[in-house]
Amino acid sequence: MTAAQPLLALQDVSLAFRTGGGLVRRSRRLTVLDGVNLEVGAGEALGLVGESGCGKSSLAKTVLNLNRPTAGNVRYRGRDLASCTPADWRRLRRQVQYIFQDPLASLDPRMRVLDQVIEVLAVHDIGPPAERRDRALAELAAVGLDPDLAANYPHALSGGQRQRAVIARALALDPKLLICDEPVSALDVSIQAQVVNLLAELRRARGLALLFISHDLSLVRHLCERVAIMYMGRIVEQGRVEQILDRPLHPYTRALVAAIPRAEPRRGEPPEVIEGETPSLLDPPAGCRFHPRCPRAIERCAAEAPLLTAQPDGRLAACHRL
Amino acid sequence: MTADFSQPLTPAVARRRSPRRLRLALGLTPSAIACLSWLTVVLGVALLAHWLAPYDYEAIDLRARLQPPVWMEGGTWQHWLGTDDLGRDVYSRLLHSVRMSLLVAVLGTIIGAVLGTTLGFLAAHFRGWIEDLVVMAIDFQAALPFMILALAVIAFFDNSLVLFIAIMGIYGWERYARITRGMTLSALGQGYALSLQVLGVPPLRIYLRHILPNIASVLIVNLTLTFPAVILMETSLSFLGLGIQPPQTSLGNMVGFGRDYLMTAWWIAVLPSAVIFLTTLALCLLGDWLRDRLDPMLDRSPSP
Amino acid sequence: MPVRAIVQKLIRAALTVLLLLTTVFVVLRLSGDPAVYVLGIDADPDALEAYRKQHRLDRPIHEQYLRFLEDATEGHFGQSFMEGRDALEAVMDRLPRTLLLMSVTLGVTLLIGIPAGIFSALRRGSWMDKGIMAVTVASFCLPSFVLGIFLILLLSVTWRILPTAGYQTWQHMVLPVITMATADAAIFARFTRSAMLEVLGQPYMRTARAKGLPWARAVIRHALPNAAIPTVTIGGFAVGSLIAGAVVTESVFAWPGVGRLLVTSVQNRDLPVVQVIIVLVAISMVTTNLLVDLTYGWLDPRIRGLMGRRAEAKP
Repeated sequence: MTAAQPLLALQDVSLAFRTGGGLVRRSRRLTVLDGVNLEVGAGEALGLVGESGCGKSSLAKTVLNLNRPTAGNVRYRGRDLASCTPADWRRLRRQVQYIFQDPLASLDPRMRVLDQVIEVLAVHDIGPPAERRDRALAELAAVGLDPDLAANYPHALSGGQRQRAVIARALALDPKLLICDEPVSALDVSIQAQVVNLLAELRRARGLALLFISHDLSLVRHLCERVAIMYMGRIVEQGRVEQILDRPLHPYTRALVAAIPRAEPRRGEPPEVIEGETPSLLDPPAGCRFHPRCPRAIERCAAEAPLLTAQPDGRLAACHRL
Repeated sequence: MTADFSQPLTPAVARRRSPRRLRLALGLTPSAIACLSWLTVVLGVALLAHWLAPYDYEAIDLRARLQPPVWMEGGTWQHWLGTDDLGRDVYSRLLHSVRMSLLVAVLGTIIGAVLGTTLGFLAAHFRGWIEDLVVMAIDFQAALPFMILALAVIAFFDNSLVLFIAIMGIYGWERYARITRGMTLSALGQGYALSLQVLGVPPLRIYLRHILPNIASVLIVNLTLTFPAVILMETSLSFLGLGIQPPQTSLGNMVGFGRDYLMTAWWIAVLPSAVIFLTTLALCLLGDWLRDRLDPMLDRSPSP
Repeated sequence: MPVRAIVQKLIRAALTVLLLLTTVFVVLRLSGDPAVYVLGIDADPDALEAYRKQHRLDRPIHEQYLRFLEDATEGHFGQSFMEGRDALEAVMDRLPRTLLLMSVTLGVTLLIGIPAGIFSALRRGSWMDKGIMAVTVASFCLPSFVLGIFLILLLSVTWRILPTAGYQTWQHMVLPVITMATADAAIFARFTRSAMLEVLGQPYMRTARAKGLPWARAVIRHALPNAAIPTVTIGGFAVGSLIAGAVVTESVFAWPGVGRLLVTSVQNRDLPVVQVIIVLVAISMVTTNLLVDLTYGWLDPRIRGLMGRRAEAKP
């Protein structure tokens, strides 16, 4: 066991579904994840960036055992998740938690927020029953929800407050790893910053590791140390945040970074615009999946899929042109 | 008017919910009160039939055949609602019939609700072949008019009270199953059920303490639709002589026997008919009212 | 609509009928010895044996099943022992009378129910609307046999303008038709009303007004066709309701049709006849639902287009 054993490690993870299919139609194979390699170390924050439909959420669900990978393995602290029993999973739930995109859908509309946090403590038998209410109140206070707000039903809270409640509920279990799937996409821009700051603060206070999934690069820059860029089920670039965002190598990353709205747009430089739309996952392009839209594609790109290789500055990138 | 949930339940708020405010808050209209009153009477009769009835419902008295009710010529206070072709007291038979019909309807509705909801949950939870089986069963039952199905079962298996109640139970289950399955699937998809699962809450607890309370209002609304329907089905089958069998008496039974005497002794058929009509009408109206209270947004067109 | 979808639906319909026949077969075997049913429990054992041999009841079950299906497709369901002749014949004899009753009822239902619903929607909130809605609730809650009894009492016994039972003249049809049509017309009225209300509330209706289209034309050209689409979907339900209604109504009015036959057959446990009727009903329902499905798809251009594009689903 090496000193820097990662908390979470995905090794060559692939996920495929069969779609459609009935008496008359043949089913098609949908490859959602293809050979994904990712690692999150203890206490570190990794951002996962990509367009809608690239497989980010499926990856998160695979980590949570909501999907079984069709190839590869997912390890938590070295332990293969596929070999975990239901009892193991109960323990695992306390280590790895998940924040959804839509806070209103994540909360039971008929229970008060405070009760929902208490319930989580009760189900996992955390602490003596008499103290649970106080613990729940403390968790909610730590995210900025005072007792008066905590006694409300979800629909009576604002979007930002709800998401804080969801965070409080997840943190009540004191997890080591928090997977956030677009946690602020449904919120107003001004509130987004608040919640992201809250996450950063909680991270510092508890030594929490984060897997922050988003399509918003500026938020990732603010919160994470490392970032992985995903396109159509594959990781195309991975490395430290400053490296990737200040000096993007992969053509897709370059286009994403160029598309970030700036306060003072650089004059004279036309933004690199990607042509076309993401192809359907039912019929992915051969070779490099990005090549039909890539401004720098060559013949080799259509024939052979590039592997994620180490670059001189330490990052990983998958492109034949580098 | 819904309760104000944005305020925590402090003593000041609790004081405001006095009885009169509650009644106004509940929105009891005069017609709702009328329906409730009638139904309370019916329920009372059903429970107290034994003690209220002056005669045994089976008591035959051939000397007092076909006596008209007391307000007509030839009627006596001995049998204030008249007698039937075997001299049995119509009033007593009416009381016991109400009891019987209500009993069958309540049992049938409960069986249908429990069966349907459970199967709906099972189908949504396990998916796969269990769900396919349940969906097939739902489609199969929806493919035939229930009357035909019921008659077929009675033809093949002979008629007993237990079987009949079972049939009434099967009458409603598919709607409950369909509703439960649909709403559970959507809750399980991207919602609080998934979050709770990730948080480690065991599935049974999720179903009983989270999903069920959330779909309860829709299920209750369905209850208000199926309960009068069960009564109607039972009375229709009993009218045909294929439901509740003599010597047991039911409202449909009485009408069936009275049909042949419409010219001479109309009261035998008309009185139970009136009771059936008033009761189902009260239930339907009350159901409408309840639907308004629970969720004004629900679609109110009767679905087949 | 692509042929594939139609074929799929046909296959499903056929499978449903097959499933029903199988269920009938299984239930029949479960409920006891058919020989005893047909010949009676006190019959001579030799006669019972002969019957079993004749009907291949001593063969393995899968052979019996295949013979059963074979016989079913040829219409051989056995002898009605109430009438002593072929069960299918007994049913077919009475079918025209029931069909007559049902078709007239359907006509009346549509003629009264749909206009009432449309009218109610157009005059929403008026006392006419409220009146119609009140009447529909009452009709919906009233069991048809109760209505039948009241009608007989009023129009036959008290006022003596119509006969109580029988089937010879058109006057005999009036009361049964009214009885059956009332509940169904109520449902059609309510359904049409809510379909119309939904359509009338759509933005494209307001746009039609804004274009300067007179209200009547807007209703006829835009509202009605769009409201017709969901109304087609209760066609299946309507047929089922007619069948169930026929069973009860024919008994109330002693109308000698298939419904009445079913009741007496069940009372006397004349299983061959019951089988025939169930199968006929199932086929009718499956066919009706199939037609409704196809018509609905054809009528609604959204579904028409969707059917063609379903193969290229985008993730």
